[in-house]
Amino acid sequence: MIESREDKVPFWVSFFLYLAHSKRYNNLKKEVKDYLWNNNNFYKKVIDYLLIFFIISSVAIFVYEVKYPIPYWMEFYAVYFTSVIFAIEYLANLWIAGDIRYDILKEYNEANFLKRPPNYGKAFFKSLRKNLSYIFKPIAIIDLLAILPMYRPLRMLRIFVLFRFLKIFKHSKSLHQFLEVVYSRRFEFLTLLTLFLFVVLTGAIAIYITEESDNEKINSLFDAVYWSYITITTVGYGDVTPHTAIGKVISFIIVLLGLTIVSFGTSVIVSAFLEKLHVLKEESIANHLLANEDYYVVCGYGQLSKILVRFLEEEKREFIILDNNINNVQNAIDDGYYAIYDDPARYDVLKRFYKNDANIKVLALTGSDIENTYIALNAKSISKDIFVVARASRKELLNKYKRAGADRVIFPNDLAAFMMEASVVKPVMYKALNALLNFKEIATIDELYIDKDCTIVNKSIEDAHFSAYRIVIFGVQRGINGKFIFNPSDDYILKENDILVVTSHRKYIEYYQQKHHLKRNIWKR
Amino acid sequence: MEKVDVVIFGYGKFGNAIAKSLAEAEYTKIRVAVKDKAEFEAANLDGLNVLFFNLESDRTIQQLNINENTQLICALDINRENLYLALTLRELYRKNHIMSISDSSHVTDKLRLAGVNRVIDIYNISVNLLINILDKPIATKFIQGFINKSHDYNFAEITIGKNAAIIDQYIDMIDFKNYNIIFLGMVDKERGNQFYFGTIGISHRVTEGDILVFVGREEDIEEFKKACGDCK
Repeated sequence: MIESREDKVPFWVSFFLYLAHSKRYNNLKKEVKDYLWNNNNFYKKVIDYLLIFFIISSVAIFVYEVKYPIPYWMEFYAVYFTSVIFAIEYLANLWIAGDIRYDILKEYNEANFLKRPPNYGKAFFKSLRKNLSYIFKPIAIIDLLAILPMYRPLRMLRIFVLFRFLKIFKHSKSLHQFLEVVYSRRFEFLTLLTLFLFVVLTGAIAIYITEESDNEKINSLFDAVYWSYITITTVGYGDVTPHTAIGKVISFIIVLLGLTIVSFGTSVIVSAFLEKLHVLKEESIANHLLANEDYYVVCGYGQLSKILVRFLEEEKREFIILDNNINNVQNAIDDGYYAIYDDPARYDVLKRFYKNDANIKVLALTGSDIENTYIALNAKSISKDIFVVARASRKELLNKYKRAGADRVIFPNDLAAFMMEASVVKPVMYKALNALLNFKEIATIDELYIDKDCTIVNKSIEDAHFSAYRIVIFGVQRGINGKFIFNPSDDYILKENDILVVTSHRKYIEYYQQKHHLKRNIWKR
Repeated sequence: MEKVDVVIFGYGKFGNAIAKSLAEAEYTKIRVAVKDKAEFEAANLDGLNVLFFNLESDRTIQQLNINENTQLICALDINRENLYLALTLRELYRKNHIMSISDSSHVTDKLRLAGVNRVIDIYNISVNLLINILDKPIATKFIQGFINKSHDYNFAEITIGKNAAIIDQYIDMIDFKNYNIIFLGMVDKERGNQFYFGTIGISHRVTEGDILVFVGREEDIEEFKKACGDCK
């Protein structure tokens, strides 16, 4: 009998293999990861705010407790309850940091494929290293130390309350961004720190050598370092002062050096922030937009976009303007809109504004067909679900735009020409067209969606009495992607999922829709 | 039917599209007036009747042989020039019907002040269409079909003659469904030149000279005209 590979799998490996194939386990891990790490997830924000609340309230209780007695429930909350919460969060982070089952499965598959003996131990430790690398991250160490105040017998451990406070860094975005700015200038800061330590030590050694015998306040090198540090930072408590002339000269020099170093440090921080300011602002704008489920990315800020965003603003719809012309961006900002100076035709730029499952509409409205087709292609390469509307300069380009992935194309010049033609050739018809094209209240064109709950489903058009409400049916489409039937006859039976294209006074349509429980605006979420 | 005489000023991004659209339409006699050589060559290449004019010389415009019935379209790409042209045309031809393209509401207001009879705000219409593409995609696809001329049905207007079969009938009582056409609205000559949508709930009595607007297939419209008798 040939022994199968599965027979040789140790029990612990088969356990991880089982986990790797378990849909429920995988979904759970994915969801937890999303809740804890995905900044675009609404629940991540809720969890962050809750944790910040637990941190602040428990630290406040610990500080209050230093001088005043607290009731048992308060102690239970600050010491045990919050610590358990933090411990759960720590363990959850540790759990999602690595993926043992994946590495085991990979090793299992590779061994099977190459017909070599598997080395599950190596795969296990490789994966464990990922978890361990998380454990040694500064933020994870802070997380762990923040749990320690739970251990009450050792009063010394109470100092770890400070680490609990430091946890806020992890959950507060602005503090996080501050650290990022500091980290981006780490080279300058390291140079500065080295220089600072060098000056402190030089000053300390100089004052120690010159004043050790004459100054009763400087008895050790530590006293000298303390004096040097307090002087260089320009704090100057005055508890330790130089007594000799040489000591005073040393003071002159290191105060001067101290001022230079402090100024240098300040300028490094300020310039880093100034450089990062627009990035931080853009991130904040992007996060604001991504918090929504339905939003517009308007590419280009020309005359057409100006009119459009005015409407979007009035309708309180969420949008962002992207333009690679700095003057246009400045105009948009001056007009009071969120605008970013970047090229929407670039993959990474548009990808920043993509969120899975959101209803995203990219509007390629620049004045250039080359740009607009590229934006359409770019959006569709990010996700086929992004709805793209593009502006084209002429009708002949329609196929090019369709090939680029644009869902709908508008031709402002041809539209104007069409209206002008109507105005010249059929002036009465122009009035009707003008009202219809501008979706005026008196003759609005609307869509009425028939679902199973509406009262006219399975009735004929005649029995649905549209004419009694002065509603004219232009046509009916069978389902969202179905065929459009122009001017259906009176005996046409209205079916579930039919979409009627009608015209009438807006009030009549609204009244009819409410009376018969018809749906409108089905494309909005 | 007598051809409508039209002069289009400019053959840039707007003038080009307008001229091509009107050239395809029946019953139009179009001339394109341009002020530079590049536009002249482009229009000439497209087989249009092209003439030169100088924006700052009224005499060159007067030489275009414009009569009282000529419809004038201001379609220069630069707003300032278009406005100046509108002012000049109104000054020279007080009775003519002047139309213009505009790209913002401010320009629309200025053109109206300059004496333009009909201003088509290109971006305003486009934005309305764009918004409705997003909110009502099927309805706007239906509308766009007319613009792209991709439907086998179209808008049509019919002028009622003295001996038409529907004279003195109330518009509500006429069953247009029998002809497979959709009645949109009408100009009731007894009430002036205003267009009334059929959906507003006022019953009109059909009289001579009324203009009815329909949507339908050409053959159905012709069928209705035949049944109507004295209609054109």
